[in-house]
Amino acid sequence: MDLLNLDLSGPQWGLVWPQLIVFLLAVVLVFADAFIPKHRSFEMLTGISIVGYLLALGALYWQHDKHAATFQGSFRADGLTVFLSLIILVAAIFSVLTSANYLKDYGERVPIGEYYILLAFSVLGALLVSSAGDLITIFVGIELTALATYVLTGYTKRNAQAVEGALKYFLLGIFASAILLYGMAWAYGLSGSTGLDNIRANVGAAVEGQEWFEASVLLALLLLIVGLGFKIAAVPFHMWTPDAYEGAPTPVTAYMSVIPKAAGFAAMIRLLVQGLGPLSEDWRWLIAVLAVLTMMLGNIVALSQRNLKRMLAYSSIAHTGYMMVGLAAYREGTGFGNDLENIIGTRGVSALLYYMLAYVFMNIGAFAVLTWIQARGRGVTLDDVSGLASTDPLPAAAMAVFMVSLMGIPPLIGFYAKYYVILAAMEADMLWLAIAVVLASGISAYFYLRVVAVMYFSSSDVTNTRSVRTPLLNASIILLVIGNLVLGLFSAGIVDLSEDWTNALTVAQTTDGADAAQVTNP
Amino acid sequence: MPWETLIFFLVGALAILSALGMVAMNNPVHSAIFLVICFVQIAGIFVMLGAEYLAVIQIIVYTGAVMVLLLFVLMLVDMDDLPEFHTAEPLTRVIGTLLGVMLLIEVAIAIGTRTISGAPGTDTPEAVALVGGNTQAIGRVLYTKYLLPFEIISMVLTVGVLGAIVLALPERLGLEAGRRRDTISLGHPRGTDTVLPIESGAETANLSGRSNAQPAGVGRTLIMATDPDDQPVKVGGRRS
Amino acid sequence: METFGDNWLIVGLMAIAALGMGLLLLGLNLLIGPSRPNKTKGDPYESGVPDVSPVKARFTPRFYMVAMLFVVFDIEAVFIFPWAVAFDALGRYGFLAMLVFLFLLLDGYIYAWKKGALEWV
Repeated sequence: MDLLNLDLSGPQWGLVWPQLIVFLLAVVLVFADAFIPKHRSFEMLTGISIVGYLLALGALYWQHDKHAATFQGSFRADGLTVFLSLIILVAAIFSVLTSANYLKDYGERVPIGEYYILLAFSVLGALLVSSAGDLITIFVGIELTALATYVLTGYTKRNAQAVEGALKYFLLGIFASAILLYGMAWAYGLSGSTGLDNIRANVGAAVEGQEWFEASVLLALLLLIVGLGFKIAAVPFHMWTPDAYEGAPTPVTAYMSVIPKAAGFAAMIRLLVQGLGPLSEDWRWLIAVLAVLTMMLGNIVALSQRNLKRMLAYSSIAHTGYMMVGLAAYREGTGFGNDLENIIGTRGVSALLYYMLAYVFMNIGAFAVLTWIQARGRGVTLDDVSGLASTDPLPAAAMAVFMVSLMGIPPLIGFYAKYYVILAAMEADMLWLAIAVVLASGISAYFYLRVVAVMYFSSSDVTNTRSVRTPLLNASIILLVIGNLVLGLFSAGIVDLSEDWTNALTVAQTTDGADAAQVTNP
Repeated sequence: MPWETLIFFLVGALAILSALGMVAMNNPVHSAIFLVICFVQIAGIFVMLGAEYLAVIQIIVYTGAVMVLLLFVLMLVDMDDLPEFHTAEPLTRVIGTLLGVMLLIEVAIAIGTRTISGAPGTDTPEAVALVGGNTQAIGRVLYTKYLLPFEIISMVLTVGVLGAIVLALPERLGLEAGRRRDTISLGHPRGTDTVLPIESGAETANLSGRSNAQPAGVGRTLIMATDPDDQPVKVGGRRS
Repeated sequence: METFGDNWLIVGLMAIAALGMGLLLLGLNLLIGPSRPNKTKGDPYESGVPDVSPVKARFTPRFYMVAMLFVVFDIEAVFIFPWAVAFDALGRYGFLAMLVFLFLLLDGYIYAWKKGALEWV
């Protein structure tokens, strides 16, 4: 395609149904919120949201066996798209379920409609990042996710702590976006294209046989990894995390610990594996070092936290580290001065994807129980849950399941997630990284088990001050517990599935009308 | 030296100097004016690159809209409430400067030693001239090849509208009449969100919880709404 | 293609002329206008009453709302412009693309309207 012969064929709508449904959901919610009378809006908007996400989840079925690109290469419907969209949509449904009661209870002070609209746009942004085939789509998708999340963080705007967290998140977030954009500009300059497939081909051809590491490539990689490191809260770019997580309303914390992070990892996989895969021998060291730092710092600082939201914030940083191990285990044949026989680390990417799925169930679960406790007038410190098992045995049991799962104890999903990550690290000849994961998990046992111990073996000195019914929240907690117990048993199948789906990732798709710019050595 | 190069160096030097001025100024409004100068210089660089459309956007959006917004925000807050400028700890300043210089050196090395670069592709200057110019060329590419990002941008803009309304709209506009009196907000006597005093100082009292102009605000205390995440906390305090 | 040509020379001359005009008028004023300042002339005028209102007047947050909405719709205009000049080449396809874009903006506009963000009270 060039300027004189425009490709005016429209997109293939059959490929974009799940994303289109979420988009329509957001638009419908805007109109619904504007026109539905206030006393009906809660039930209507919650219902519309859940039905919309379920429809999108169903529509993924028709996307899963496609391997094609549309929107002139900007949109890719491949296995990775489907798996990531699955994770994101499941997380979205649980986010709606956990926040519904919170919004109903405090609807006097926080507007309900905007919450669901912003949530829908944010989910849509994450879906578009995971299906992006183009640098610009990745960037605007990430911005869409992040912008809506900034607003949600400061949603209880009369709460000084929420505003403080939102401001820190926003300022560091836009700074990171600028860095990411600069990195993308370098990637574009080095490859002559914004399409990921073209970048892969061009960079691969350019670095073939080069013996020394080029400074410009290193700069591009650094900028991209730093920019995305902020989004996924990797150490040392995690500074915003504790304050934003603590300040945000608890259901929003549950949401923002999962979906923007999923979007960040989706962008990392798209950019580093799909776009800059030929450089994997160069970037995987950066990722591996960051992963170790992230795991260690997250877990060690979490030891001293008595506020459970802050503790879970550091725990989520640590889990970012585990997920990055999966990415670091991706190794591809070519690169500067490197001649591996073939790709040996695709299991790394599928381990990362499975970990993300597990993380949705573990982390939203933990925050859902905190929301449950808060709805009954308790706080979120360790003292507030002491003796919870004697007054409210079922939520305490659920919390225990989530904590043990986050720690990684065998029958639960968290164990399988860590198992596959460790396996991937060992397959990629990075034994030290696998050992670091085990060590970090050992440290984390202390603060996860402390919560369980306080709930079960301390005397109860805090009581529920309010009595409310939270049917949707209860349902989501039950579903999450079941997910934690059951999904681990099907882990082998899920990992194989994600591997099948992502293996096609590095193969250039049929990009209709994308120009194939060539790389030259000037 | 050809005069185009001369003008480039002039514009570039002005851009860098005004950016430095923006950082160095003590008064935020002066900083904003320097930023305007910087934006205009960058528009000049766009013109020299043949990107007239970008130059015009730079002026319309950045020097026009964004700077107006920025100045409004500066005037919304009391200057005395802003933290003192240039009072960072010496260590922070040294490290910050050092990191900036390191990035500069890194970019310089990357540019200097670069051996690979993307080819110009098919959109040559001749092709651009053939379709009528820079703006036409952008139009032809933006709505075909970059259609998806373009539509996503409209969603980003919608979220911008929503976010502004959620965060900045005073509640008494958003709520229906019957529900207004229950909310408690910053700087009002307890329980009276709607019944604002008629005095001219009311609006400023609404902002900061204290009134500059009228004694009407005397005796008001700062009341924060209680919501489930509300815990007594020192705002801005250091927490690990 | 010439990247920096005669058209911009004219724009540059125009800018210089505008700047020169302003400086000329100010300079003439300075040169030939009489200047005899005294205290009463320098005082702020407030209907004969001593000036007591605070110097630092602040705006209400509504200005922020209006400015924010202005930025958003300004950017919208920026995106419509290249579409308008390339409309002949884009045809029905481009028309539909812009329709979706405008629909979303209209969405936000209706929302702002219904929520009362456009009212000044």
